[in-house]
Amino acid sequence: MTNFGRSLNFSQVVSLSQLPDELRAIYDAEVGNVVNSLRRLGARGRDLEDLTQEVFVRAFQQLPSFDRTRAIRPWLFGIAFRVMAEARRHTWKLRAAGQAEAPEVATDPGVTPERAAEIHETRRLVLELLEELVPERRAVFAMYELNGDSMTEIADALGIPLFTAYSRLRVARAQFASLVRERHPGLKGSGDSSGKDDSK
Amino acid sequence: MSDSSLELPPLDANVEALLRIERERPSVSAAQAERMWSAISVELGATAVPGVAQASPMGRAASPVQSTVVSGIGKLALLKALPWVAVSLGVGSIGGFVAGHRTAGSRASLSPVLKERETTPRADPAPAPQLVPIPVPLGAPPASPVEPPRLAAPLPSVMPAAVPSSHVRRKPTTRSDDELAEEEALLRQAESALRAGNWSTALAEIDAYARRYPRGELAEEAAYLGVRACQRGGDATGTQTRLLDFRRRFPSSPLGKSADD
Repeated sequence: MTNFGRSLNFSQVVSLSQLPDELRAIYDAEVGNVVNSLRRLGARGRDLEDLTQEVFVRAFQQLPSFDRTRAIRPWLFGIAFRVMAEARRHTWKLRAAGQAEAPEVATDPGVTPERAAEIHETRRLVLELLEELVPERRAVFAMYELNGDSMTEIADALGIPLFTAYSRLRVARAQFASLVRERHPGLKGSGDSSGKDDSK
Repeated sequence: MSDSSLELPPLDANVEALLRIERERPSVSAAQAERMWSAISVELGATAVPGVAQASPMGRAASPVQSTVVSGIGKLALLKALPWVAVSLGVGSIGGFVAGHRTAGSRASLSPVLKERETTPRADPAPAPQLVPIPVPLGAPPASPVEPPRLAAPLPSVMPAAVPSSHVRRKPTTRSDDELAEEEALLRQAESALRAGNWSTALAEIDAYARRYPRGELAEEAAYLGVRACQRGGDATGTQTRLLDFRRRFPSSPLGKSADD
């Protein structure tokens, strides 16, 4: 039927136009996850917004054919993965390649500027290490280790056999751990990720 | 972490600590979320139309010139560009527009920009664009200030129902309704061809309009449609030419500004 919304029929268009509230609810619930997923897949800076919009446009166009019994978050990640893959193939679409991440604004009054900078640096490091993984392994690693998706959902969302998903995850885990040891041998992971300053 | 039939060994403590911080990465700001939602609504309204298949900016390869246009369309997330998209959608509802001219009481189907154009002499400086992404029936209750932009209805069949135009204060126009209706009819043909993917036909209709109405009320809309037709047809040179012409003729156009990015 539909292929990324390229053959929407009339009834589907009307259906979409009549469901703005549902689309908005999906968007509100998932936009943060989609943005962070794209970030972990390599999108940066200004590209993040454009690619996020593209993910949701495609998702909403495919929504009439979406199996509502499936989890929507892995499904969105699968779309994000394909959008990102297309963007990589056409590098001109990635205008912000190499752009540094803007420092996050600490909104928690309990977070000192030093601690906020430390958290920002840790997240930057994670993204930097993720960049070292090939996209297919990175996607599985990010979905399982960061998004908390199940292996079945991952295999389904990425359209790969379950065994392949496991294989990619195993290799990605080993590679990521090796990168941490090699590039940051003295790195001590913080046991507190809440953003609070333990020194007080 | 999640269900798995295979037992996965735990991660190294340092790696786990790193990933825990990344897992708690904050979401996007409310302003950023709203900006993207506006663009998504616009994009859906512009693309979720049968026969208009390739408006998705990531859907296919395109030249840098096309990317400029596509990027510009993507930048319609900026509030300043929304009225222009309403124009593009409004051209799609020319049926309602024509009805609005021919039948008193059908004015609700006019796009906001077209309404503005109709009630404001061309010589007057254009007022600042208002954030009105989709037409709202006149006389309807005012929208809540926090109400998010709604998905624009892309087809005339789902446009808001006509309401009496007793609240509309019309200024005298310099062109007759019949002339304007003729302009609309020409653009409607072009827009229909554009929806059907007949780029050359659409361009021919647009050019016919331009020849017949070089100073037409809908000249900007026609020029804009010309850019889009070339862009969707994959004509990079034509896109560039028409884009430059559009900027030259309508330098204050929000679309022209966004296309500069």
